[in-house]
Amino acid sequence: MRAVRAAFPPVLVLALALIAWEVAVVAWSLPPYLLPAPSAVARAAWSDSARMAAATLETAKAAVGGFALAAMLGVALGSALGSSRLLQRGFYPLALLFQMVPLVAIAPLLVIWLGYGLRSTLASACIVAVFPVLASTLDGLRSTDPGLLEIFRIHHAGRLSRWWKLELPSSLPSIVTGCRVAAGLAVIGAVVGEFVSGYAGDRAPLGIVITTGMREARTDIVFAAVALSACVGFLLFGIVSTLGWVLLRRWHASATPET
Amino acid sequence: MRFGPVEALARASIEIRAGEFVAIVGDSGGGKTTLLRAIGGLLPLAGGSIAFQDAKGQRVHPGPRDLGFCFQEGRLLPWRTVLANVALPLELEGVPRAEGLAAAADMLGRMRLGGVERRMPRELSGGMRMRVAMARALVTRPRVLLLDEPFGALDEVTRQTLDEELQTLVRDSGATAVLVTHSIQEAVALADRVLVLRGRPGVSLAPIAIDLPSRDEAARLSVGFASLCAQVQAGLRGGRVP
Repeated sequence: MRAVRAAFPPVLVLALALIAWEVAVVAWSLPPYLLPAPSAVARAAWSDSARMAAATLETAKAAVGGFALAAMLGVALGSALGSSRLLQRGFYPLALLFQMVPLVAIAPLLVIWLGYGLRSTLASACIVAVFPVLASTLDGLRSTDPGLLEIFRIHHAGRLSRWWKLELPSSLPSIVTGCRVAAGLAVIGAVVGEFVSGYAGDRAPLGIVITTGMREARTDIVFAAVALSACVGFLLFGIVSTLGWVLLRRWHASATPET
Repeated sequence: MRFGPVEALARASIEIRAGEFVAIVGDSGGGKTTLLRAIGGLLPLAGGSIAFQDAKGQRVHPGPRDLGFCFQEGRLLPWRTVLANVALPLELEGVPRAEGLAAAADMLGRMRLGGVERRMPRELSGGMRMRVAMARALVTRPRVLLLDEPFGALDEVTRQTLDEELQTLVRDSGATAVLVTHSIQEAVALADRVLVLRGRPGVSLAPIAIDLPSRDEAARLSVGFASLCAQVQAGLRGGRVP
């Protein structure tokens, strides 16, 4: 019931926006190559549903795989940097700098190294998603309660046990936040990767559907692919949020429903 | 003794016998907590020494299981259940999991905390959380129990109840206890001797022996109790300590 109540306002706003869009297209008789009506977009997606479904699945593979890889890498790298001031001082600024390099500029390199196809798009999704996880992990580790650290010191806890039993769980709220940001970014990374390194054919991903739609002036198909890639992002975000909630619900305020 | 660039405790001297209960009172900022943390080995000393002796008078270094700490904030791990929190010290010292959990459950039962093992710390009241923290401090059966204002954040009624429980637990365990408190009544009610730290940085006065015929609730209302409190108070205010 709570979920229905929470979903109602945004769904209502979306429905109203779609109606306004539909009415505007009809009222000003806009040409479909400029702005197709939502109903036309839906019809285009439906008539091409097999290709759309395959494309969505392909993009989802890249985004989910890239995200999972980024989450593991981000936590591992963040923990490594968090374990040593020296490593942190040496590598963190470089990680920051690396983050500033635009993905579209790296994507061709990925194609050179990994070839056309899923491997490149997955790597591209991973590259954009890894930084927020790394940063939030490091941030979480650094803000471990010194009082709790003292308890571990008193009992002569080793480094690994301190990380596993104290620092990692206490960083979880921060890591979950980083992962939620990364989930959205992973889809962007996947689609951008597909623009450059995607592959045509039966299993062409959404990024390719968008570029071919653009070339063929099939704006309705472009819109449909954009909407589907947004759905992939939304789904991934939902899965990550739910996982986070499951992990935090019993002890952290961020997972407690607002009253 | 210096803590960072600030001298927290100038001079303190006390010899604590095994099984004794000593309370430390003093001005805030007078180095009470510093002294306790130094005893526990949590602070490096800028001067002086702290020595532990075994029954034969030999100097020994206390192991992690010999010292039990209890802090004012409780310091429970919020993501662990009560049971897992109490078992933590044993777990960190490599005691097998099942054995550690059994010891923790036993300690919780002893403290009449049976039934909350599966709860999370945030689901408990402040008083309950402190009792869990105390159970964690006692689970290794420490020989020295170091208590840093454990009930400082609690209301008066809860505090008195917990004082009585603490007294029984410490007596039963035979541990030596050092309690830092800002409450003179609490110090007199619980301790065999009270160490007064005066000034900032603190200087310790001669410990005041607490000689009361009984330690029950009625004792807190007796003339003797009041006069001992007055003695401690006088020490704090800078009067002559008899």
